[in-house]
Amino acid sequence: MSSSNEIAPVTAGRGARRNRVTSRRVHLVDAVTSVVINVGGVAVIAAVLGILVYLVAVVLPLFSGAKISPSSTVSLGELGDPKQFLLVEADEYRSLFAVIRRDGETFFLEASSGAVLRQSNLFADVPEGVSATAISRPVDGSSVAVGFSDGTVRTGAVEFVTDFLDESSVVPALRALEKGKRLRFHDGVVEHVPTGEWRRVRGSTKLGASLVVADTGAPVRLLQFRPTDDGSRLAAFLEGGTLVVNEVSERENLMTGETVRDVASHTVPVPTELLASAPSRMLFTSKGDQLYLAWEDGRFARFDLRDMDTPLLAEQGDLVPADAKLTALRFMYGEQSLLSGDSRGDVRAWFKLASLDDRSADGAHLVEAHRFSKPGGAVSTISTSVRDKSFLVGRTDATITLYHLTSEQRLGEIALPRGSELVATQITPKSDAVVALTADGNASIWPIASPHPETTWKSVFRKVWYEGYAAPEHTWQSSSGTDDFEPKFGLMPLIFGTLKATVYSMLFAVPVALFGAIYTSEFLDKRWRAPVKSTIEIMASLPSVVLGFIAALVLAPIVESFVMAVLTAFLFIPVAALGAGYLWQLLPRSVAIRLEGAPVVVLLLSVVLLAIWAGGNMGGVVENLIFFGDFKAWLDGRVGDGAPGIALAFWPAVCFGLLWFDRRFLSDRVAASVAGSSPSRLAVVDLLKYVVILGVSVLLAWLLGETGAALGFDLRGELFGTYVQRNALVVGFVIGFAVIPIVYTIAEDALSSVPGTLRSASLGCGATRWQTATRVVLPVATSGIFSAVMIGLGRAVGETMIVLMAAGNTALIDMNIFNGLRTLSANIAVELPEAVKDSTLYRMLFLAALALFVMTFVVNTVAELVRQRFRKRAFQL
Amino acid sequence: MTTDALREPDTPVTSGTALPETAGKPARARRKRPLSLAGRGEPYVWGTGAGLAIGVLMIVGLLALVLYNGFLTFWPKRVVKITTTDGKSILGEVTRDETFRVTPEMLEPLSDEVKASIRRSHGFAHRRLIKQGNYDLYGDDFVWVADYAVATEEYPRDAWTLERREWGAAFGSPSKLIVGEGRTVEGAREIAREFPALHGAAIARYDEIRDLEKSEIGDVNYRTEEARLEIRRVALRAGEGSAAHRAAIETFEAREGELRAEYDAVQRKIDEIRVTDETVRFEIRDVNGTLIPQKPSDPDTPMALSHVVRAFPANEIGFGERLRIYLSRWLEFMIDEPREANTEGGVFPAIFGTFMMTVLMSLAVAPFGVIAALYLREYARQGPLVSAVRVAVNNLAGVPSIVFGVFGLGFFCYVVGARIDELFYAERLPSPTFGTGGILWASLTLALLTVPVVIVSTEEALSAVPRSMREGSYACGASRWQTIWRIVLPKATPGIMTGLILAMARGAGEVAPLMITGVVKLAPELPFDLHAPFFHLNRSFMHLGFHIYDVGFQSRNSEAGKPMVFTTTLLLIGLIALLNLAAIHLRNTLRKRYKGSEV
Repeated sequence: MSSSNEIAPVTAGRGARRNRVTSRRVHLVDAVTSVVINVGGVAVIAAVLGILVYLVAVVLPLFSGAKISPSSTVSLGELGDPKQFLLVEADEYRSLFAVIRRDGETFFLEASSGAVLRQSNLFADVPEGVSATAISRPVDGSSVAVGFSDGTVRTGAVEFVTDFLDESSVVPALRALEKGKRLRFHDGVVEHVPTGEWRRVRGSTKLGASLVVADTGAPVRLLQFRPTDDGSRLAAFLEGGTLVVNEVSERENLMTGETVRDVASHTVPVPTELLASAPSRMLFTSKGDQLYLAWEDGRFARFDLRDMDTPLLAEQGDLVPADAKLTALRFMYGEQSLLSGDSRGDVRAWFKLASLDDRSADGAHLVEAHRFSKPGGAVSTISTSVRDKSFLVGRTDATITLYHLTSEQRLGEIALPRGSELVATQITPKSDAVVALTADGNASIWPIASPHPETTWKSVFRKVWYEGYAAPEHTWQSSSGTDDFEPKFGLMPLIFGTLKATVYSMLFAVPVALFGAIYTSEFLDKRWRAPVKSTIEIMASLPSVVLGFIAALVLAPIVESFVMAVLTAFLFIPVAALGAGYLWQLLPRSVAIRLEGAPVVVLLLSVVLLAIWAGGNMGGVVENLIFFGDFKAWLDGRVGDGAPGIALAFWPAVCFGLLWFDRRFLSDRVAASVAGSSPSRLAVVDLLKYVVILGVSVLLAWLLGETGAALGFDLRGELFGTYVQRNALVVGFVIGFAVIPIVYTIAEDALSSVPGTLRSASLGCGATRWQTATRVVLPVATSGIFSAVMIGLGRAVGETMIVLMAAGNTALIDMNIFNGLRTLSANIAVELPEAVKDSTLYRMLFLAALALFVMTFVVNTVAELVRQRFRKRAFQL
Repeated sequence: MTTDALREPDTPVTSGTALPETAGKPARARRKRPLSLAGRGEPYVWGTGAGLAIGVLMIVGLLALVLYNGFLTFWPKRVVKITTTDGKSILGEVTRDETFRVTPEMLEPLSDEVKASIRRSHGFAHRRLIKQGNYDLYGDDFVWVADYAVATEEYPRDAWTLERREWGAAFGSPSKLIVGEGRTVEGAREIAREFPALHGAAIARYDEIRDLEKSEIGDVNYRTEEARLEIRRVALRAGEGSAAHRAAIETFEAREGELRAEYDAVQRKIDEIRVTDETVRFEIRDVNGTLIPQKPSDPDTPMALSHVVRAFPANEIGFGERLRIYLSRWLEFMIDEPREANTEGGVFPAIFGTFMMTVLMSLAVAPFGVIAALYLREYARQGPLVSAVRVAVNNLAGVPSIVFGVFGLGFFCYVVGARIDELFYAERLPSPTFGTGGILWASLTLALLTVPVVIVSTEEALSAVPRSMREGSYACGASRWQTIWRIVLPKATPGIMTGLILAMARGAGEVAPLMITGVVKLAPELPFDLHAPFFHLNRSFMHLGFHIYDVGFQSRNSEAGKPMVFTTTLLLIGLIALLNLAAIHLRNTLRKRYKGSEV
């Protein structure tokens, strides 16, 4: 192509002939095509390579923390001392603030201006002289319970009511409102939402009749309230040390329409030694079966209330170190983990796990699973998100930090003006803003965007301690039925599954393909090469969905019924092929040479078929002989010991060891002792030697197995284990199907492109064909063969349909060859259709695709570089 | 280099050195030459041969399995009646047989004699899978019958095989053909004689109803939907409640009235045919004498004759009749639509989808692949950068297809498609038009997947064009483009075509990326129909490969779908083999051409 720049556009004539001029059209077309091809070519290549860029662009947001926007602040100072507020809260759209003052005065204010939209007194019905002493606000966000100094509790609702205005009530002022803007409208705030409707948010309050918790009339000090399906439960700790749990069920009287309230009251006995000081905090699970009391010095007591009639003090312990004070205590959303904050600034997350010892009375105890440290100030507030496992920690050094529990990620931090004292914090219900009230009366809202708080590089690739798990683990479990489910995005089980499928398939495919390639290029009769090669090339064009279907619906059931027969057949094939070779040597050379060609090919095929047939028939015998009559029962661990497993796994190694031993020490002596004998006698000796080595190897493997079993080794639970129908054995075999033709073709090409002169020279020196193949051809072709294996590896890694159909898709980290697996690619195919765009799952699946891309790209590049080197080398030869 | 390669064997290896040693001194060595046979390595040669044999046997076995099952599926089998030792009667076709391990629970109730014989065969026994059909009556259309449980076995002459439009196959004996107007046909011979004509008429009625429903009613519905979208379009353009909008609503209402009248007329026509159709019924009873009804909810009404797709006395018909049924089943398979959650009927939509997707993919991949290859080979300055790009492009062919699928979904559907929707199909939002999987995006995804194949093969074809031909062209004064267009490309065409066909073969066999970019198990409409603009590239489609996955794994009973999967597999493999053969043929032609031009 170098000459293309020197086109002679004009001159053609000489002497008398007229000068011809290249028409302008030719120049124009040439220029245009040049531009089109240059631009188009670069664009196509850029587009193809752009895949990587796009994948990275989608994946990157997974690993960014929260984006915290500047705050808007209003002053609530004129409502009174913020420290005297029972409750400060913003609604899910951040339109309103609700404030309840200790005297019951309740305000709804516009969040953007601080203007009071509605004011009422929640405690209007409360008798004179009785004051509020405790408040409980469950996470569902509408109900509220207030405990009073006369030992009564009143439940009610302080809630934000959202509705959409109907066409008639949209006044012109609202109609003129731009989409996305808000306007104060009567006692609420109206927003013209992007879908075109007008949404109004208003406040509403109500407080129900009083409920006498205890007759003593002691003030309620601590209160926990939980609405349930048919009523509610509340726990109250009264001054003087009484702990009362009430089950309130409400039902409507069908005759009168009145609501009847049934109260079942239980007093929970608290040991007096615990009550030396008054507990400072109380928590109650929504089912009402666990109740925590905690003291300022960090002690806690957990009561198991599953049986209300016999409450049980299940566990006691410390939530903070000895020299620290407990300053905050809260359940994470879902109530699986307990967050405790201390005066040193640490927040600890505790999981209630089943205990193996008897350290608690109900078989469970709290375990510290995560810790979030930040020296500098004591923890003052903890608030949690109701969407995910994010939580907010306010500290006395005037900072608010947003963390994610599972990933232990610090998502972001807000620094308040120096010296401000935090009174309350909140993560809004949509988890899209942080609200904080300081002691100087300033209420601020910081919009936050933290779309993927649960993923960090560490949480994706390292073990993570998920809620309810006994220890940190690699887990992939992306979805479940419940709302408070914690998605588990650990890629390791999928990467492991990918590698497992790859390793097992390569274990099968590489020997078959390479041996096949060596035989084809070095030993097979020339006339047979072309048909054999194209037969195997047909294999390459089989769609993998066909292979997957065969694997899952044909092979898997057969293998399940005849596992032992299949395994035996696999072992028999090499034994029989080698044996056939030794028998072949018995033939006189003259006969053998005449049989080259078709008879040998037919014989080879028959030997393999015979081995498979014999293996199939011997399966039952082998099973009875060494696997105690039932292989699957043995796999389950129901019968027998580890001996046969060890023997089976190490038998090939023993064989290779014996072969080495033979070459190193035996063969020379044997050869010397029979020197000068006729070839046929030598062949007999060889055959005998083979039989003896085989026998000895079996014996040694068996001995090894027995010894290993006697020493207590057992491969069950590691390499072997319970049989599952869709398993790695079947998948490995069938992926082998897909990989063999690729490896075979490239390796065969590499072998046959070794120059014939080398072969001729070697044979001419008197080397046999085997010696020529192993010592001349193979070393030259090594890099080509290596690249063949690498390219096969690339294909096995990315195989999708076969594993999707035949691997059972269980995301486990389990070496067991008889168990299923889930690969990155199958996982993408299963989960991507259901993943919502830009959700964490969606991006995680893109990460899986990126991982596949990078893995195969690296493997293929290495293979390509090696192959180029090989080409150069073969060319020089 | 040569010496290196040859020196390696010189490292001390104890055995097998006998032959080279003797080669130098032939006279003395003659007697003691064959010191050892290790050098010949015959057993190891056989060992490597076993590798090849396994590979060849695997592929041959697999092809044989697919061919055998695929071709045999549609062959009308005889119907066997088995009475088991516990007195049950089973009527049906033998699907397959196998040797199985008798579990202790199964062994428990057997007689001692049977137990002993099972023990003799190492706890295994033989059993057959009988397709007994009549899913609506039995709730299970396959049943295993072990050989030891068979009391009697016969091939009853009056047993018929039925294929129905719903509930799958049925087996039974016909008792009556109700022709209508009080006339009935009874008696096995009479029924067999009258059946073909009556059934032909019933099928004609059924086809007419279906045609009316599909074409005319479908057309009315389509136009109604278009008219409705027009309102939305006007509302978006002129604003809701504007004069234009109100006018559009009025037009729509008038139009809707017309369309409704049209609809009613067609519906009346359909109802008329249906009334006649209802009167012709086929009374057939299963092996226990229970009537096989049309609907399980109405067990006393025999099925309408048009409910039967195909019926024949399976044990009576001769070879010619069997062959006719066999061929008619193949025809139905190729040109009809699927029934029964894809486990029966045809795969025409899947064939069409596969075909159309492959064509679209080729349309995209051919120009871009060739342009990129032309750039790399003819226009770009050769150097390390271009070499690196070449290696990268080459390696992309090895990137798993699912990765391309992920990219296709994320980029084409959600980015490009969503943008197109916003610009051109705003009236249909929020339901996506191009913003979701569809045949266009699937084809483009596959084009991306296969473009490296085309680039690589085109480059090879370009570089194989002898330099002398280019130089000759330039020497005659041709410009660069003239040389490429008139000399290089024609010469390279077979090579380019080979690459393209290989790309098509690869594309036609891929399933994983399609699963996430637009393939569905059952597409309501083909991506091509008679409503402008004829090609509906946004529609999802069916695909042979996905059909295999779906029927084999997602259907109610994978056993019922298995024959269908085998035939589909056969079809897919046949298609791909055809493409590959074409490629091989072209490659050979190419080689011959080069042979001629190397002078």
